[in-house]
Amino acid sequence: MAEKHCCQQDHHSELAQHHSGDAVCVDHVSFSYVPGVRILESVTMHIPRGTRLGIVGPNGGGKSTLLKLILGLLRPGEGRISVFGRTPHQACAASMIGYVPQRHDVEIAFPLSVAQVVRQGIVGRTGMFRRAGADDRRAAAEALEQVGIADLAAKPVGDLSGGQQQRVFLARALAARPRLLVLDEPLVGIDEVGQAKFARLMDAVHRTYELTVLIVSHDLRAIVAGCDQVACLNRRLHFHDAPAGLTREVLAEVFNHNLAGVALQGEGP
Amino acid sequence: MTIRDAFGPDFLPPLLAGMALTAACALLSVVIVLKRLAFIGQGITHAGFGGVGLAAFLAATGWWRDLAIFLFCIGTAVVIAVLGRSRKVMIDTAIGILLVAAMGVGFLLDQMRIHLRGEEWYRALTAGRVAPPTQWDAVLFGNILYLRSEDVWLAVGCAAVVALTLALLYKEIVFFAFDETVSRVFGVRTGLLHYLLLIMIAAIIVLCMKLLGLILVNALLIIPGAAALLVSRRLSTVLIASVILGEVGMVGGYLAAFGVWGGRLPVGPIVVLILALLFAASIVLNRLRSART
Repeated sequence: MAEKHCCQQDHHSELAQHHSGDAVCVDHVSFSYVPGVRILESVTMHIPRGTRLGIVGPNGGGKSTLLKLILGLLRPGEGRISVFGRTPHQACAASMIGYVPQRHDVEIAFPLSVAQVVRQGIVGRTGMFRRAGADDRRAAAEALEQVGIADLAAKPVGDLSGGQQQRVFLARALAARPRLLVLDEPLVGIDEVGQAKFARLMDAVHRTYELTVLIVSHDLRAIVAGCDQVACLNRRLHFHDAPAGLTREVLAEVFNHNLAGVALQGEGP
Repeated sequence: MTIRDAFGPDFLPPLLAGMALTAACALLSVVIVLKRLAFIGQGITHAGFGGVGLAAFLAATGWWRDLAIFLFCIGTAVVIAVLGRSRKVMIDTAIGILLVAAMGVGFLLDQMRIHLRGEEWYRALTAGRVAPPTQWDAVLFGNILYLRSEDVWLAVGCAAVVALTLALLYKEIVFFAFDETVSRVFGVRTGLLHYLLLIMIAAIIVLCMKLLGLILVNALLIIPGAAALLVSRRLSTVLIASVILGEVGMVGGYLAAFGVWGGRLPVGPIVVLILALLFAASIVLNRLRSART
């Protein structure tokens, strides 16, 4: 039943249509925290495997709510979400989702080293009451290597800079050998040099790990830097297609003016 | 009484029980401080007053009394956890309310049993038994000599269970304390861990009641971990330091209580004061060290 419904009737994005090979299917999902006040309204979106999708939108537009639904931290009021054909909860339990949370200041006093934080990523894969196997430990070491902070492995995680902590959390997500990588506001608090570095790193990660990537940000630079597709979310899904031909300037301008109501391509002004 | 008596056959069992419980508390305190459960611990300890009142009301003694207190603590812990997970009530508000409500219920039940003694249904409920008057000062501040010799085995067993549980679920509990939401996405069963921690805290509190009393037990559930976290930034070192600091407080307090003034000083308050001094010392140590770097 999802096939016929597009996120926007007059905009036949191929991404709004269901395919069996989709990494993520969001099917007519609505959600409210308070009865009567819908944060998300009938959102339908399909992310094909291997895609890098960016979701932008104003604060309060429902981005992080959609993210929590995909991660299984919330349940949709209406509609259905599947991740690789499973419920989000099952997908998490099977370590299929790697999650890089919004960088909040790590408790300086928390007595964990960088390597210990990265090894948190394999906890679900290892399972309760067990010690991590050689294979999982190798995955964690490789992830640390991949993000270029292997030399910091023994340092307390609280001693690192914001950009370095971001890499630690990315390595933790990769250590789980996930099939879907979800990043929440990855560039907040990171300077421009750091942003460019991060974009290059994400490119390399996408190639190496054959991932489907989902980035959520209110900052369009984060999206343009490393995504094949863009979706704009403000309660409803307003645009969902490849950002081909969209320059950074155009997107920045759109964002400054009216992100919510504007369709960027095909029917733009 | 002399120091030698403190290690005699009458006093060694309580000391051993105290040391075992201290080790368990010290390990838990690291998790409590890191996961910011200190206030929940306060809520559960005060729930113990409700349990004491309930036990007195039901004329329960011995193990039955311990069980009544344990169940009351667990019940309060679960209510706190459930309220804390809903979005309607702030957790500190919920704890603040339950804390006083449980204490109120405890005192009320303890008083009511005296006036109900003549009632038929009450005599039927308690099968004619009458609990001895509640010694509230012992409930508040504890008395290590109340520990029966069978309590030693219970204390050692309980400490072993706590240590084993923490060891078996080490990586999950550390991730849970570091970032609960993220750990859930990575497959950690956070609900299970949350309730497991609360149950362990409640069980330890009931066992520690005789040792330190319901108020002072909070010292063992917070100070060793808080001090150890100031001493080291390696988790394994922190856990070991926490146990050592806890035992220094426990054994030191025990020796001081029985050795200094002919055994006339209560153990609990001295243990707590030593722990507080150790905490102050670790703050100074931490300052000195960060000034050097």
